[in-house]
Amino acid sequence: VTGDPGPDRVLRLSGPGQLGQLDAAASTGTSADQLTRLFTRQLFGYRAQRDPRSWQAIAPVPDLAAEIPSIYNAGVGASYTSYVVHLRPEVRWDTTPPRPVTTHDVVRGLKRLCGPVLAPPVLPYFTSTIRGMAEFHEGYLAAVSPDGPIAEELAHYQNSHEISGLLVLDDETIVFELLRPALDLVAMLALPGASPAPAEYDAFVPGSPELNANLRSTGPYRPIRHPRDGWLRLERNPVWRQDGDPVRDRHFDAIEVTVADLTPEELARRIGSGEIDLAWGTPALETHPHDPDLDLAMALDPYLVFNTRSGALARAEVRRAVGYAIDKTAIADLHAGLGTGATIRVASSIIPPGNEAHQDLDPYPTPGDHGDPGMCRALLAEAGYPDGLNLTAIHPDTEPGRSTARSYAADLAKAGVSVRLVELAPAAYFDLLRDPARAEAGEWDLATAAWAPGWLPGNGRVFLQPMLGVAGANYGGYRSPEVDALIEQALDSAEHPATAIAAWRKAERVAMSDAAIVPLLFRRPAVPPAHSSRVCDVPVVPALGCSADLATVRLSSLPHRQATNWSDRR
Amino acid sequence: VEHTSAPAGSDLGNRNPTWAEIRDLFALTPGTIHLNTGTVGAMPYAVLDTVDRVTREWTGGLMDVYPPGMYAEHRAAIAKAYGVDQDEMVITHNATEGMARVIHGLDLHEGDEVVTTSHECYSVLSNFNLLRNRHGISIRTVTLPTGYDVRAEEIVDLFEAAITPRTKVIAFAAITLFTGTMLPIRRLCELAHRHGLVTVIDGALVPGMLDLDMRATGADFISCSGSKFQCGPLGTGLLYVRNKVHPEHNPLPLPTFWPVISTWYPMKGSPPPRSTTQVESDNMADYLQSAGSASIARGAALAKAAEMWDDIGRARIEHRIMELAEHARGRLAERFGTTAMYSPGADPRLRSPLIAFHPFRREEDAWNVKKIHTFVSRLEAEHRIWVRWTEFDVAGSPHQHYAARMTTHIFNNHEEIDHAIGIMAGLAEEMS
Repeated sequence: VTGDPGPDRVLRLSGPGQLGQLDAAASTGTSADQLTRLFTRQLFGYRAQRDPRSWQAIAPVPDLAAEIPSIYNAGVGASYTSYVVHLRPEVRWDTTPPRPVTTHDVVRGLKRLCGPVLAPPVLPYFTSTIRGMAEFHEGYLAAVSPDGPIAEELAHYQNSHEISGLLVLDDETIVFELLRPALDLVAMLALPGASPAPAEYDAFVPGSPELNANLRSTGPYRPIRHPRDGWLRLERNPVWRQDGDPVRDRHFDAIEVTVADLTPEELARRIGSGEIDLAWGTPALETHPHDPDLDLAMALDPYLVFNTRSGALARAEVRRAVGYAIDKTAIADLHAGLGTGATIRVASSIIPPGNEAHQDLDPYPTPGDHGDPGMCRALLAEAGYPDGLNLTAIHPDTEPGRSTARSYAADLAKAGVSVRLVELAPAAYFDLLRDPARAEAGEWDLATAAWAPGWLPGNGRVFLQPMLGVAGANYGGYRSPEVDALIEQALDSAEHPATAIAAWRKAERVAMSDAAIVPLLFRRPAVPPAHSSRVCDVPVVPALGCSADLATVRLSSLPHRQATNWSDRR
Repeated sequence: VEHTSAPAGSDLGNRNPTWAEIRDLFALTPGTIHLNTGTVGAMPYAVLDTVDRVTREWTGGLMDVYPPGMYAEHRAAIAKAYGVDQDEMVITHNATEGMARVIHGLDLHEGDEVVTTSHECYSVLSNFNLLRNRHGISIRTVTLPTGYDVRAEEIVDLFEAAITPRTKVIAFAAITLFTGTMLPIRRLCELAHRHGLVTVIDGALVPGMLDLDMRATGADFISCSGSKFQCGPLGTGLLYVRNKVHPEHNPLPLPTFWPVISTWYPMKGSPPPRSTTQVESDNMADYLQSAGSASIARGAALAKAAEMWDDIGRARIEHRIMELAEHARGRLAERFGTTAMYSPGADPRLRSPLIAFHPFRREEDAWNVKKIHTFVSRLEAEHRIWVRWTEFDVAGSPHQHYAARMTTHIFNNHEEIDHAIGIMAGLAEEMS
């Protein structure tokens, strides 16, 4: 349906999401992925479905690749340690002149993940799977200073060293050779972080403002204006061809995103009035949540991060004590009160329901999940802190971030733990969270983060490997040789799913026993998200946190002024 | 393709035809050199005619189509050719179907272990994986050695080292489709007997190639193709199921076996206990054969092909195939060197008419799928030579290796083998 779209064919989004970082290699599973999907393509991807429960919504399809490697097309051998990928012909960068996407761009994209600048949370997936990638990563870190590296240095390393498990046969064909059998390589290569990168990117430091101002597109749109002042416009990429893209469509002349610290209520009002079409970065108030029983995988959102690199929280007994104090039900009520229509459950384990290896686990039960300050106080005394503790908690300056921090700080106060809250802009917050040196320096003790599954199904590694392993999304720096060994065992057992799942579960139990983190809530957003009457058919991508697929959302056939007013339906 | 009817004199009769005459019996595409029987053979005209004739005979009448679908006479004749009995021989749709029905009929339970190889046909590995997911069995996979100098003892030792107290089954290809390695069947079966194991053999390439006494192999199950070396129609296969105990061949009791997909398996109660002697207690092959309506023509045509093989003489056929293969192996070794061979050569026990080799000079081209694909495609497109490429693990190598594979059969001759190898050498040189 592409009827009269109203005054223009521009899709408008607004909300507290971030625009400062649109380098797909820096993807942290945030709302930016919704935008990078419009101008980056991966070897494999997901075709959004109107019903996200459809198996097709979570089954990777060829994107830049010509087909999914399988035994039928000689793309995978019996050992599942060698994947052959042929690129689809005639996909081009919007360079001048337009240039085909090649396997060299695929390799460059993966090499960029390994550098000292980005430290993307998804990197462990790749370094533990593709032969030679860990060595390339280690060599890269050793060769280039993380302090103010210049693009030339980075490009020199990348172009003078190879990842031995990436065999470029020619411009169109690449072989991925693996350290061990992996059944999820295709899903990994569908992550935004695995986007190919053109040679032009060698001139820029990954993730830098300069790079963000010079992004190249293979998708239906391309960023036109540098994302300054909280505003971004994507316009049609003239080089893109619909017949060469099985994943994305193009129904708009442009897509505009405006960063604004709006509450869910205000977002709902603007959507209802037609000022904007979709919320950006946080859901709008949802008065008609659709199908709350939708059986989709959940995210761990949020969880409490302990800085285990310094201070009292380096000790498991202290972490366990702190975890006991927290009233998770209060936090759940608080988030439910935002009215975003999300399905929310109190979390007591790391791997959320709907994901492989999820288990019913609650090693620190408290009545009604309201927390037990008395237990916290007693355990702290046992741990040598009879007079309580002073901790610093950082949180982003968003309403959910602020209210969550205040809530658990109040809980801890009841147990004699004094929490100093430090509010930071989201970009600064994540910069601090991801900087091990500043954690070691004790700049913070507590934080909150979230992690959503990057693929489904067969995603046993998705939570524990980045959250508990070396690097990745292990913001608190938790280390456990036992957990590391169990992660290795699970990864080595791809051919034995039952063994792998048992290892993941054991790893989770060990980490929970160590109180590596405190799971707070499991969450699944409302599907489909609230949208203006100008648009219809808002399919979501489960692998992108069930966010709206801006590449396939359509204009409604109803003229804007005749559409039912959202607020009238309350 | 201009082979719709048999040329005059295509019936063997009681003559002792020359190989040139036998070649004329086959519906080969003119102007081509067919060196890919490892994938599919070429039907004789008489087999084609049988398919057509029997299809017409059984079309449009009021006849009872079920009894002939049991292929009782065909099975008896074919069984005899392989030294077994009708109650042990099933005509299936292909080797994959037979293998699937065997694997899913095994009495395996959680914790039981199967030892097999990474060089098995995917259909073998996928069915065992299904069983793993369904019942919680475990699978130990060994990677067979490759190369000209491989010896049978290495293979037996590899299997023996993989067997544990939990092992219940060993499963292997009689001849691997990737490297054409003839596994030491009898020795592996004896190994299984010593450990009390069930033996499951993928014998897809066996019928029509080897003059084989299936009982004497000592195997419990052998699943075969009817359309490769036996040159029956596509969609035909044979399945041998050991159904009596001949201690001199296999002293173990008959394994518990569930004939999945069966019309005649009793609807209530159980079949008689399995025999412990040389006399069958039941017709296991009938259970497997009875699976609803069947293509009567398909079975008849396969039987016709088998009959032709009996007329020519299976020992004579095996000798001819192997003689052509040795000729080809020698020529390939001359042109490419023995180091280029993935197929065994030094140990005559491991040789088969499938010969896999690395055609290019550079070692790294062995893991360049595109190059081998181009090589085989160009042989077909530019020279009308049909071979195929295969992919497989090589022990100790991080790479998936790719090889060109040629196969000799009785419709080939020395001249075309020489010609084809000459072309291959030239093309490989050009591409190197």
